[in-house]
Amino acid sequence: MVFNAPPTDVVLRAVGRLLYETSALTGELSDAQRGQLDAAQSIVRYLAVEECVKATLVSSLRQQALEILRAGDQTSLRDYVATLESAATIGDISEVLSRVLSELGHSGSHVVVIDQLHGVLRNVVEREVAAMAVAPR
Amino acid sequence: MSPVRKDQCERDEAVLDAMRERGSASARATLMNFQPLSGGFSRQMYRADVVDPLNGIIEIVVCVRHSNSLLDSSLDQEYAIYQALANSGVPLPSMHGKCNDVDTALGGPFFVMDRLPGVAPNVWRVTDRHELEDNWRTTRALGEDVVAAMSAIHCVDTAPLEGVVQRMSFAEVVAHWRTTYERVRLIRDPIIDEAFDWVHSRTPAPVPESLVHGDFRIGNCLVNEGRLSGVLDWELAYLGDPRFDVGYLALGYSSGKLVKPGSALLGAVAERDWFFGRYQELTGRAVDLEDVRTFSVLSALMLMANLSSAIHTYVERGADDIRMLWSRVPIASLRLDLVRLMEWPEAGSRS
Repeated sequence: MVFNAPPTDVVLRAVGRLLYETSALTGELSDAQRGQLDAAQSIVRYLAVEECVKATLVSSLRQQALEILRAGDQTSLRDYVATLESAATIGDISEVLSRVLSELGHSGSHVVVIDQLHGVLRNVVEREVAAMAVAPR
Repeated sequence: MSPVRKDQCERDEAVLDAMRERGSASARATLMNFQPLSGGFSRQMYRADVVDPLNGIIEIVVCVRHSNSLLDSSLDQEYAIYQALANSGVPLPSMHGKCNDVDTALGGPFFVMDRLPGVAPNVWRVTDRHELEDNWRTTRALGEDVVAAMSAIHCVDTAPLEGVVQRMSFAEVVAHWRTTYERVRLIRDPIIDEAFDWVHSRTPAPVPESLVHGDFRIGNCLVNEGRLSGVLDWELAYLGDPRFDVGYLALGYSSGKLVKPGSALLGAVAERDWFFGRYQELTGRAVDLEDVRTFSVLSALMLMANLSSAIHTYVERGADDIRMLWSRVPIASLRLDLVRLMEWPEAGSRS
């Protein structure tokens, strides 16, 4: 779910490669090598949480944003509804929301809609961080 | 001579030549105990001892800008800052020479400096945070040292830095980090886009230009026996608005927040109101909390750009340091800081 995060398969491959390379080492690990393993453990720990909550949060973000856009009385807003309905990934959804907010911000109106979309985005990131905070060690 | 031994000799001679050129080592000096230090993504650091029949033993650190450095920051500028601030009251290592050649036995241009006593606290580690908080509860020496160092940096005569250190207006700093972020982001993020617009719209009233450290937090300092013994990592320094450093230190990240909150102390070293009051006493500059908010958002965006650069370097450029990929972890929390600092409405309070 984390924005700008590389896809899960990229992360898992990276961690797998590190484990494979470490297993081939002999002797005591250096501080730098231990640091790599610590980083990998932390990455996987948070990735597990993200995978558990991602579907719910992405669905919630799209659903709440769609409700706001559908309720808007501007034609330009409704034009984004179809795009958002077909958005499959968090990257697609965030692209649409960025464009909507940019357009509304530049128009200097629609303060209520902007506030509502900000509230949805805040709600989602609050829930994401709350989930990460209870990640098991 | 074995290839490894030959490489070591070339490396040692490169370091000693740079020191000899500056008069820090004699022709008979030798290098011992050369070891890598854990460092950041832009500089590789090494520690070593120079044994010199004329000057005794000099404990040094070698700072190398390697070819796949994350930040496009100038080693020359960093070196010049250390020299210019030598008598400023800011605790800094003495410089022992530099080499500007790109093709060196150390893998890039480098400079040599004194190795100061102390360690850099890791505020994301609970034990380190507790030590810092104990210091505040007892002597307050570290809080006093940190605010004194920041104040000294912001009051230093910038004339010797003219033409050496880059000058950046508020708008240029915003544009710089926005350009950086947009070059490396993997997907578009409405919170980041909005935050850049928000901060751009809040150009603060001008204040006298200062040297800005650009990454001022206790993790970039050395602490020895409860006192500040060095301010390091000047890669992001510029001449501009000093309130950037204040806003950055006020960000939760600087006091150990990754996902859960870190220390309640500002930068994990002092109570917020005390720090701002003391800073005002030392610099004669009032701290406006709205300006702090603006610069906290700007510094969070700087962090987002740098974290995203690390991820981009790992994914797109095939780097093999998995800590770069770990940079994804603090992003969610920084996004939360941004929406809170911009005071976006909470769920249930929507219009």
